[in-house]
Amino acid sequence: MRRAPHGEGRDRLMYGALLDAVRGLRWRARRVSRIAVPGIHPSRVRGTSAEFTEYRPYRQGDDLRRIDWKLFARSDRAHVRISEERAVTPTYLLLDASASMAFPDGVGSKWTLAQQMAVALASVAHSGGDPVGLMVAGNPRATISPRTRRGIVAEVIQKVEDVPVTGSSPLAPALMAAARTASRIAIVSDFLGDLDDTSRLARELIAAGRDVHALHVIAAEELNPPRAVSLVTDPEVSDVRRYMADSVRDEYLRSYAEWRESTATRWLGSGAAYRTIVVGREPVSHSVRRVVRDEPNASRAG
Amino acid sequence: MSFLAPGFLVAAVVGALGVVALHFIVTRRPRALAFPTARFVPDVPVAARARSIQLSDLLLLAVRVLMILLAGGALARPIFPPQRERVVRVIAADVSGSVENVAETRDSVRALFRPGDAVVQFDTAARLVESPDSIGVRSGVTTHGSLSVGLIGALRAGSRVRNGADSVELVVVSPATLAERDRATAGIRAQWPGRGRLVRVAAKAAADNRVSQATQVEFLSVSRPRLAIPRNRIDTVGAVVADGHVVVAPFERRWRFVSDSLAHARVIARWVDGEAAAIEWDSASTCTRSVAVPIDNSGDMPLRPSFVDFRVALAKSCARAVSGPDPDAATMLASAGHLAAATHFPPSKDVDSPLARWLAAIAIALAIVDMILRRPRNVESEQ
Repeated sequence: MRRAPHGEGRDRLMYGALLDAVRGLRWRARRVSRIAVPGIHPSRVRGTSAEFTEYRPYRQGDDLRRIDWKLFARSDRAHVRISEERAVTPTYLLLDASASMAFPDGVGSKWTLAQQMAVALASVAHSGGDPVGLMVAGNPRATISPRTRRGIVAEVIQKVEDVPVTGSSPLAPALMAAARTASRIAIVSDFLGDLDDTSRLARELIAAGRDVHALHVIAAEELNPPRAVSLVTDPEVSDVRRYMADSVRDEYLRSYAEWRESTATRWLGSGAAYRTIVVGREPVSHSVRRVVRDEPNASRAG
Repeated sequence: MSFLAPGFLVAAVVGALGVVALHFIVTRRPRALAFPTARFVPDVPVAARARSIQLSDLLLLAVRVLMILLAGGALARPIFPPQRERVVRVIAADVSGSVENVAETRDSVRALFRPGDAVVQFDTAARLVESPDSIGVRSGVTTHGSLSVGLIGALRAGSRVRNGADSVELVVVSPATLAERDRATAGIRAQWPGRGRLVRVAAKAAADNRVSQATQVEFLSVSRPRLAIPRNRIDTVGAVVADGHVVVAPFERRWRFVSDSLAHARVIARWVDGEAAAIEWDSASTCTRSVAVPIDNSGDMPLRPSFVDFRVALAKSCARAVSGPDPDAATMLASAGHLAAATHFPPSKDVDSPLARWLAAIAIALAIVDMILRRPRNVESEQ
């Protein structure tokens, strides 16, 4: 189990450079929002705001107050005035806090990267006026409901620093809980847990209009394991004890690559925005830019 | 610095090299590593054995190598030899009843003695003394001395001084009477690998070294022989020797002569293991012999020629020339040729090596350190 030391001041100092690096970024919604609350994202709701878009012939059922009477007087035909509405996108950051995320041991772990991604994305979403919440699929599950209030980023920092990284907690129930109040969900995980359930649920949520980002965190050691002979054990499944040696290394690399390919295919097929992020391969701020700008992977993992 | 038993040091070096080799080829079970993607490693029985080309656990290796070398060094018994002289003397000083005045012997030795020399005083036994001033008469010893005993003591002393000289000279300070010479004397002298010399001192007056005419033999006694005491445990010995005549038979030894008796008597027969089987001593005008050889008259042993010769040797008269200097002694002791080279003497095993004790103590301390170093590792492996 790994737990970071406490201290809000230390936390701010730790994440200060990262927050500076992502300042000014906007995380635009990939899908039109159904929420009527004014925000920066395009909304399905056509309202009466001052941002005029077009005229449309009046149809039975339209609100009579939206008829442009001056145009009716000039053309003798009734048209309604259509304007563009902007809405907010409640965002949930869903973090996988299972034991496999604590690899490798130390500050260069997948969990450290997940923490930084969560804080940076929370900051970006919050600066865009979106409510931001955090859900950590761990034991116990930690939750911060989406809020737009000041200090929400500091709360996220505090929460991710307090969470123990241990055990094996499924992502799917947490994803289901997050989808109740969020339009956009960013999953930061290594997807070594309940991938089938999670991706199936994500497909359903996307079909229902949710915006899902799957951020696949990979450790460099997993892509290039050390050549020294070692007995490797799965931190989440105690039965899995295998010998890593040169004779089986190529087979491991091939199997792992195939699994990553199938995982990417599965997420992309479900309509999610899928990104692989390798620990230490690029600055975290670059990874955040790729996510919020909906850019493809900078390079293929491995 | 030199070593009294350098073989142990060589063995220690070989052992240390063995330990280093073991640290090179040590095999270990691969350490368990938490690896999240372990499920993608093929589940095949990998019998991999890693051979490290690096030394493992340098601290433990250093402790072990040092411990072995120090233990070997302690067993090799290092000594710091004194400053080497060209020639040292081994002076055998006669303090037996044959000497008229022991002070004369002491003065002669003092005149001959130089730093680094060894002094052996002898009568019926030999003893190394530190200086001429330490020479003295053993209490209760009034019999003739034995040149053979003195020469054996000199040979042992030669081993002690071999590291401090190139050559060793033998000097015997003695009256060298006929009574002090026996059949073994010439043979023992021949073992001294060089020339020597005899410094004669005055022998005791002939009145004391009288010739015994009458001989009384207490032979084949069924009761306790005179001056003998019962043995604590009766044992069996295979042969007895008297004047060159050997009788081989399973003798049952019931008696033994104590050292006090031997101080005033001469041994005339010995068991095959060297113990006295018969002694004689002079009293007034009589020479008395006490024989502790049991005879089984029911067998044929009394009829054997070897036993007959043995019996004649014991029964012959004590009358012999025991007074006056031995005219051949000087020639026999001096010999000719070069001085004995120090290297001809075997290294002495009686030399004290204080450094060996310190080395052994440090080696034991390192053994304890070795156990302490290994303990945390065992606990870790149990976890």
